[in-house]
Amino acid sequence: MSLALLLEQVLNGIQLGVMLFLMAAGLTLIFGILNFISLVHGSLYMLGAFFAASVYGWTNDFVVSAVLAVLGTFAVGIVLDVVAFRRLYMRSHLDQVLGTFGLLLFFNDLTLLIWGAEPHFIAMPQFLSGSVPLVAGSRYPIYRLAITGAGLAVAAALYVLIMRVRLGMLIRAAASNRQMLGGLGINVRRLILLVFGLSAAMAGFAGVMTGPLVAVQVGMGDAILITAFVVVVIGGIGSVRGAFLSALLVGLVDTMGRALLPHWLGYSAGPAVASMSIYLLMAVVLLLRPAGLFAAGRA
Amino acid sequence: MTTPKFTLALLALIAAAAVPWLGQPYLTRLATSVLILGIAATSLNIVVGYGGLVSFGHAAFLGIGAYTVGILGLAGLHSGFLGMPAAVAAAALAAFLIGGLSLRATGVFFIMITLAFAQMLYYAVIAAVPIGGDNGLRLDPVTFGSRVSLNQQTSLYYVSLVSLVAALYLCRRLVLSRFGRVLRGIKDNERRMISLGFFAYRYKLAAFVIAGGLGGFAGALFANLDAYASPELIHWTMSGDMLVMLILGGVGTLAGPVLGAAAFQLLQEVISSYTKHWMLFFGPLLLLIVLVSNRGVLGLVFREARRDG
Amino acid sequence: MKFWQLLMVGCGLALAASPASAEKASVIRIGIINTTSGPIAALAEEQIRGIELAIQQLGGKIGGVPVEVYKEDGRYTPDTGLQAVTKLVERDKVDFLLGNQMSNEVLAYAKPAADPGVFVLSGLAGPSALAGAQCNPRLFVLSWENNTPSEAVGELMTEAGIKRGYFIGQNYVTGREHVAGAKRFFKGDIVGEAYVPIEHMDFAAELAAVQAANPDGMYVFLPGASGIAFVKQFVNSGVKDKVKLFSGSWLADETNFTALGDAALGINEAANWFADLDNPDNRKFVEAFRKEYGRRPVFYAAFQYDAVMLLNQVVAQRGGDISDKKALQAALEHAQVHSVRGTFAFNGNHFPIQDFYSAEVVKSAGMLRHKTVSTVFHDHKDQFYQSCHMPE
Repeated sequence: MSLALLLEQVLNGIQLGVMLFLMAAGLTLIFGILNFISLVHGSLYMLGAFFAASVYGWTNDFVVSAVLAVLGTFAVGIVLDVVAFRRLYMRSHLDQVLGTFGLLLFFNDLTLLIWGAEPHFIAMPQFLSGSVPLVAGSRYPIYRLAITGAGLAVAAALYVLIMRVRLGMLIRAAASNRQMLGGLGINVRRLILLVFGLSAAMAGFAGVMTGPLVAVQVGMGDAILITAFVVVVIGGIGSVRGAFLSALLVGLVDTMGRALLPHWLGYSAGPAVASMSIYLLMAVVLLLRPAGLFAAGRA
Repeated sequence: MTTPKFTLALLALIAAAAVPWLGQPYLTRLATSVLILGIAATSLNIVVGYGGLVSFGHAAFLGIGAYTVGILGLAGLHSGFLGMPAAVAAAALAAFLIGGLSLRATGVFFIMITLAFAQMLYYAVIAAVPIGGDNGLRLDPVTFGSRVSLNQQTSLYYVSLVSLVAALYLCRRLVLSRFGRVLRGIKDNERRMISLGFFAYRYKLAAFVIAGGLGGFAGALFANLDAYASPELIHWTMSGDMLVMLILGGVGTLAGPVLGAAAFQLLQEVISSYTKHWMLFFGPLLLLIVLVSNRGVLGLVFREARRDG
Repeated sequence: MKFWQLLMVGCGLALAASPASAEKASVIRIGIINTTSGPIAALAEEQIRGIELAIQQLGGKIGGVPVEVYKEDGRYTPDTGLQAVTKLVERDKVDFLLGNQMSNEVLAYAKPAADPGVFVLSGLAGPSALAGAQCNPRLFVLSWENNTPSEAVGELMTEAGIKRGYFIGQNYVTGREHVAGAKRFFKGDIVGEAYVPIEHMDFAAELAAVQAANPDGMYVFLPGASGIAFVKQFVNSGVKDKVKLFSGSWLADETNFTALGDAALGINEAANWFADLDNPDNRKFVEAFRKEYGRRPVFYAAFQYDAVMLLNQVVAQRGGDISDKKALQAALEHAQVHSVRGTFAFNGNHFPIQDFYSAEVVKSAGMLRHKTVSTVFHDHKDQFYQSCHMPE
């Protein structure tokens, strides 16, 4: 493999990793604080893309579409918390899995009903389309660099929020001991609402950013949901830092696997093993470190 | 079992036995699929309901059972006396390997790792062109001697019915046995059981293997129903569907899984005959059931305290 | 209401003479099996549009006999497909099974449906197994054998003077068959191939590899949303300037022109039917479709329209009698199908012997459309028919 190709694949892996991080960070936060498994974040990713597609159809402005879409998914997240999940937080994992699974099915069908079966369209903003020269005559799409940049910016903002700002301190405290926090007079209920809304908004943002690259259609969130869970599990539940590093790891393993395995194992076994690569990675990690790579001290 | 429950069960059995006599092939096929799903859900109940282990990869064992029958068919071996036990053995072996590794993890990690193994199997089967790849594998239903062939709808129905009754009986014996009590003790408070000297891991693994083997049997019956082994049987949504059946009927009860399987099929049929957007209603319905009671339909009807069912 | 219809039909049949005489049927029941839920629902809906348009054009009758239509959702797995087909065959008592969208489902239910006497007319699925060893006397395929459209694309690439070809397909049996078909007829150098998972949407890795391999033409088999994703990324990666893109007509057509936008321009396609084919049947079909649904049709509709028209032709020929299955089969086998793609006949394995054309995606009057350029294959047969020994 040439240097140019290697560099491109690494960039691709990082880009995929950053998108996965947006999903995984939200999942790991709500799991860490609320002990809540949510299968509905794939649907939030999908809704983000659909909201953006609709707004884009009216305004033809990508930035406006993106902003409104993210706000929209934030709102949906809040509604879900108030209407459905509030009672689900103290239930068993099985109940949470099934309850959110039901919502996943519901949102898929609702989207089909509202937007129809045919794929939708978000155009890439003009200033971000096209490609830039990389190394040795190869070119790399500007938009992918933009996504990576945006995702890293969100990651940085999240870091600042959690580590530096008082709100973040409250979130970390809630992750350790919710009751104590409530006893100290903090409105834990509102905190939970905010965290859930934030996780929803991040998922929606990931959907919006990916939209122009792929087709916006029903069920687009299902595959990335599973991968995001793999990231969370590898990284360690409740650890945002773990989610970031593991997201990059998973993104790179998946991308490099698809690039290299067919060459090593042939065109029959190669693609098959490449599909399995992230699951194999997860299995290996869990067998060596049963609580994930960067467990936040809680199972 | 209390007398009213016993009477109810007997009536249900008689009603079930009468179905083929109604002369409605479509209804019989639907009922057969309910019976087989009932066996599958019952097998999952062993790990989830009694063992407290949420396995999201149970569909893998169904698939292994189905493909065992299919592969033996490719080799020209159509005898049910070979095929069915082979399916159970293959699935049980897989459960031993998968469970052996997965049970080292707990909680959500266990859920994810069982999902991972099932997904890996799914991708492996799709890539395996000699057994049909994603197109699946056509097979001829097995025969038991010269008299009974699962090609016949009524034969398959009664074999499934008898198998379900046997599976329920097996479950009941398991739950009431010392093994079952230890298992439920582990589900309630694992640390205490360990401190009492029980090797929790071994009990959980044993439960996992039994569940896997029974799941393989259900998968083999599916293969006979469709005359087909399909990789979709291994997909994670199938595992999800089985968990849904458990919650519909009531987790950790004996009749729950069967009722749940019946309710699941029935709901699908009824809702989808009115609208193709059946998930629009089914999704929230599922959430509602989960929120209201995890004893499922059974829990709502029989308001009994926690018993062995 | 269904009960009364059944009663009427029952009386009608009871009053009729023995089955051996040519009795005009009082009703023809058509079952449509495809997947109307989930991501591939759009294809199924297009199939249904084709069927409904044809029935409407025929005044609600096929061969002079009133039609009843029953629809079931196969939910894209063989098990649910079989269940749905059983419902149609056993409960609704359909005479003809249309739709038949998914190859893996059709492989599972073709024989169970055909055995009781139902004729299966596939509007899309054409797995090679059914063209060869598993051919069925009552299965007729109106679309193609799965390899053939891609064989046409491979031929097109050769004719277009492509020297270095790159091939990408989805990693499942039908996908690999398509790629194999294209490679077989491409006479240049194959500089690389890749197989991606079915739900795969992010082609960054694959496009990077394509850039490195430096082909001058590439073939893709990426139906549905994957294809849209690929084309958009292809255009933005800078690869488009150096590499020509070839595929079957599904990559860019009226169902996704809106989603693709100008990214679709310049794609080279080969297929057995394009909307601008100039023959009377097609002109009539396209115009009627446009009037009814507001846009030009896509091939899923075209093949189903053909199926209904073919049934009309054959049933009329038999004077409305559908009880003699052998005669019906023979009529279908010897039919000169007046299809919207021209006229064609069935091969011994009941797959079409048909022409394939090439087209380019162009913009005219501000709208994207296909412009047919040439004929790539005349009377093309699939390569499996010799393994078919049609049972009696």
